[in-house]
Amino acid sequence: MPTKRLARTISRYLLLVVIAAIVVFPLYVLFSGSLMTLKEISSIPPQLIPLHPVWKSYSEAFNTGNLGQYLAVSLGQSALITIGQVVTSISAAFAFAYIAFPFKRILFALMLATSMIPFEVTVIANLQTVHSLHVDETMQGLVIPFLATGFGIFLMRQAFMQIPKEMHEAAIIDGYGPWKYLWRVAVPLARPSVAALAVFGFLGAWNQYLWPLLETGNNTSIQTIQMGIRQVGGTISTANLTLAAGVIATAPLLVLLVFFQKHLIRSLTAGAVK
Amino acid sequence: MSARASLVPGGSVFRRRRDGWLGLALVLPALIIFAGFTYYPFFKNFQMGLFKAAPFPNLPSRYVGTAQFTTMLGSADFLDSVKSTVIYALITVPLGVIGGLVMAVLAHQKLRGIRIFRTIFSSSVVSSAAVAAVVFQVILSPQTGYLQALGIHLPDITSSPTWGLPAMALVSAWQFVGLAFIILTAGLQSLPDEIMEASRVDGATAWTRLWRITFPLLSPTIFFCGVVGVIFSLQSFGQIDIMIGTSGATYTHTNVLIYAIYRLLHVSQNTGLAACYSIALFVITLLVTLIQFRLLEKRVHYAH
Amino acid sequence: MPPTLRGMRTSSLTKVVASFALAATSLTSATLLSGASAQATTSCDPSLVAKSSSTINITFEESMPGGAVSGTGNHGVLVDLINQYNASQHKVHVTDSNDAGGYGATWTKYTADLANGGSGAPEVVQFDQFDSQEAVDTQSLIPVSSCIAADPAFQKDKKNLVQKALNAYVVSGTQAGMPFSVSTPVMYYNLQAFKKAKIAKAPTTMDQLIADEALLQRAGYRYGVAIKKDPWLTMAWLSVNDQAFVNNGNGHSSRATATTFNNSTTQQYWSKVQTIIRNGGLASSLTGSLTQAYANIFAIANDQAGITFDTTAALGSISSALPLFKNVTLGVAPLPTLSGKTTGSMLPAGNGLFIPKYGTAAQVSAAWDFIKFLTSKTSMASWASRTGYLPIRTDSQAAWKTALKKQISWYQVAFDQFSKGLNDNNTQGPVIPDYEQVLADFGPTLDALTQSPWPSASTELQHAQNTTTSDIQSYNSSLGY
Repeated sequence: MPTKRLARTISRYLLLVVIAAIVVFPLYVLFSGSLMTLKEISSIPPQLIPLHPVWKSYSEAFNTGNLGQYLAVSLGQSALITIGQVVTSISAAFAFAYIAFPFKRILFALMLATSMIPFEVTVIANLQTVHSLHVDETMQGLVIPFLATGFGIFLMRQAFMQIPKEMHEAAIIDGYGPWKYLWRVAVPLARPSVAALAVFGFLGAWNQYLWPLLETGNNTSIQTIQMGIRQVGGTISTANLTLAAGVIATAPLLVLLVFFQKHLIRSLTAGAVK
Repeated sequence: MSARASLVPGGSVFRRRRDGWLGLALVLPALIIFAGFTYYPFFKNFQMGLFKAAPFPNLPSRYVGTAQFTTMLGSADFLDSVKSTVIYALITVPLGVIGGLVMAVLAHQKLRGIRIFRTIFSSSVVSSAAVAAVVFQVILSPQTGYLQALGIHLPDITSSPTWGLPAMALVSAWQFVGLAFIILTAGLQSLPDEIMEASRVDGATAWTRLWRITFPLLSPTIFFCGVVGVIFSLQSFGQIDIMIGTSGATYTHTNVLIYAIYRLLHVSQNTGLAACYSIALFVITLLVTLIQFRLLEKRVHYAH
Repeated sequence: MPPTLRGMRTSSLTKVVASFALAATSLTSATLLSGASAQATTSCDPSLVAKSSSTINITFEESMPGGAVSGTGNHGVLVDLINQYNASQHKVHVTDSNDAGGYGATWTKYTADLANGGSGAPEVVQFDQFDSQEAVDTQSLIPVSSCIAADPAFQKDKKNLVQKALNAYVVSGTQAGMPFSVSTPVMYYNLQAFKKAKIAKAPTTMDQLIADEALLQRAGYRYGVAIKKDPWLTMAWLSVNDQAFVNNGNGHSSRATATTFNNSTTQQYWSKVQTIIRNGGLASSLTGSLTQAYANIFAIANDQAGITFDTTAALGSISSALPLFKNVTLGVAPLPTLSGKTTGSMLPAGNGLFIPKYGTAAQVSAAWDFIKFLTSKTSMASWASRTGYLPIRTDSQAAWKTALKKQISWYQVAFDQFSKGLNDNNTQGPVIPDYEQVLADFGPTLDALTQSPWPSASTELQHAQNTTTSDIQSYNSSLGY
């Protein structure tokens, strides 16, 4: 019996490891490739493991591409977008979840529908808009169009609705108005969802490409890391540096994921407040 | 679960007149952003679609009414685009959802170190299109690619009309599978423990439990995951631009709607036709989502 | 049931449609925002820089790859030149704006500036040579000819430029832009591979190339020959045979209305290439980066092939990678031809500098001053020797040769095939309307030619000629031509 159980446990782990290997393989290629010499990365047949890891590719990529500046801009831009999305989503979601007001249903549907309009479809008109608002080639222009998200409003509304009815009843008996209820009860209880929304917002902002390219125009001082990657490599002799730059651009998100992965899942579960 | 009645909009806690104003005020910031940067440009498309743009945006465009729209509907390029878009979604979404489901079920076991696996399974959400493209170029290269090292010999994706589109969909599916895993794991964790326990007591095997109880209970989440997947697949084109571009025979087969729009806008500056394509893409997104809701909602098992 | 679904019910989704209709009526009636037009300068007065009492600030938008730091690719070299210019005088200050995404990214950004009525547009912009017709068609440029006409000093200096490079930017009879970087395709080969395969010297005809491929394969080089599927090769073959890619003086004398690349010359070349690929040669991809786009070069590096064709612009980075590959001793030769002789000469290709009209008169003057600096004797020697591009001036040659030392033999091959021989419309490089679309039309043809079922070159090239011609015509008609 114990051997049978052991065998089962081992086979379970084996399955997990195999699938994990498949899923993580592309990221592994990014990481291992970034440590290879040009000769290793271009060899036929390809090499799976860097035999002589070249750690200095990172510093080289970082310095030649001046990636520090791009990272700082991306950090600022993604943080501002994240904060904006959290604030507007909490605010709107709270209204949709708890307050009776005119045009509520139609406004909610309108906001959900925004997720069906790809951003590329709106780029031309949006460029004209930021231009006429005189915020083109500025950080404001990078951030403002993304300060609200239909997904975020939806997520937060769901989180608020998870809060047991008894809580509202108790709050109303205690004489809480909507404002006090929002800050004392709703937001604290919906923390996992706030965390998830922040992470999704950050991921999305960090990985943007087309809008920062067009909006920053000739102002290189506010270009983001996704454009910074292109400052590295681009020639035959520096193919390995491109991968190192890719690692540098992805690493902050991986760190974020490791810390917040639990919140991402929890925010989407019904059992947020078990 | 019993609080469902109050979960529909309208079942509000705060319903005084004063609160109504507060409600509107709270919705206002998001509404302003959407109005300025989503609704306005979206509806401007309808206006732009009526004008034939000059090849450069500083030159005057010409009013042509609905001519561009009718030409588009009859053009082979557009129909090819629609076809590619549909095939693309038909590969990306099932692959992503099924992959996510398998991983979610496996990661739902009580095993030591399972959290590490959960992190790995969700890891693909961090990849940008640019990074994914660079990585998959290395993997799929017909000369130096990793798959070659494993003995899998692939034709060059840029010159293979049969293989190019599935390869791009594969990249998308990989990017999506992390998110699918997160959504489905969330769904699994929210299943009521009592039912799972009860079935275990009844002596159902793990396999039957999975098929008879878990999946039906999970079906709303699976279906939600599918909707998210469709929207994701209809909006991804970065890797197509970087890996396939327009220089090979694959191009006309990977020219999905969103990529066609991107090229019409930023390469040909054909804003009028791009606007028509945009409207078509929106209509398709809406239709697919509605069909998914209509068809699947009947089959989806809601636990009430 | 997970909560995430509750809000997303069919009922609310069907309402989406209704609410959109509502929003449509309210929003489409709103006033449409429009960008204010920037002022436009119509002429070029080179003397304004000297007359200016304050520093004139201009922006230079360019697409060179690599970081902004010296020694990290072509962008770094360009930044060095910009810094030199800024330090050398105080009348003009140039700010660099780099789009490492390439010419396409610069084009996208530039047209976005046009959509804003030219505000935010740079004062100097770098475009792909083959985008010249489209650049002119934007009606947003001051042709450099108007600067040259008002600049006696430059008129004297002009004779030192390789005339063909200058002529490449003549669009419908007008000097639209200034050449800056020139590269040409050459044949790269590995001398060590030649030794093993017992090949005495580099092939000069396509038939010799086919024979050498077999020898290389016998010596263990899997592909023997690697050929990148680049439309540029077809242009090169036409040019060395003094034939045009498009009509109307190859687009130089007036706007081209059709492509003319399907003739017996290109058909013969393509049949030879088909033989090479069918015999086991590698046909590699043009798209992408890293291992994908450099597959032909990496095939040499990995002893899979002994010969390939590629641009001289890659020579700089190839030579910096060479120390890693002890198995390669690089040789460079002109492209093989059909008969071993050339009646024309190799076309220039690369990028040029253009002056948008949206700056003030002083800025336009400063832009021209900066362009003259970039194309001056010393700048050009430094630019060419550090990037792998060819100098566009004959008087830069001495410094260029000294700087390149031993490697000069590689570059000399390319420089000679470009600067010597015939200089006429056919060899100045085509001026192609809607170039990007013509390229996109060409791709499937190149793929079809190099794959089973091996269609005849005449059928495929005729097909490509029809498609490209019809696209050029619809582009021209969209501009009212």
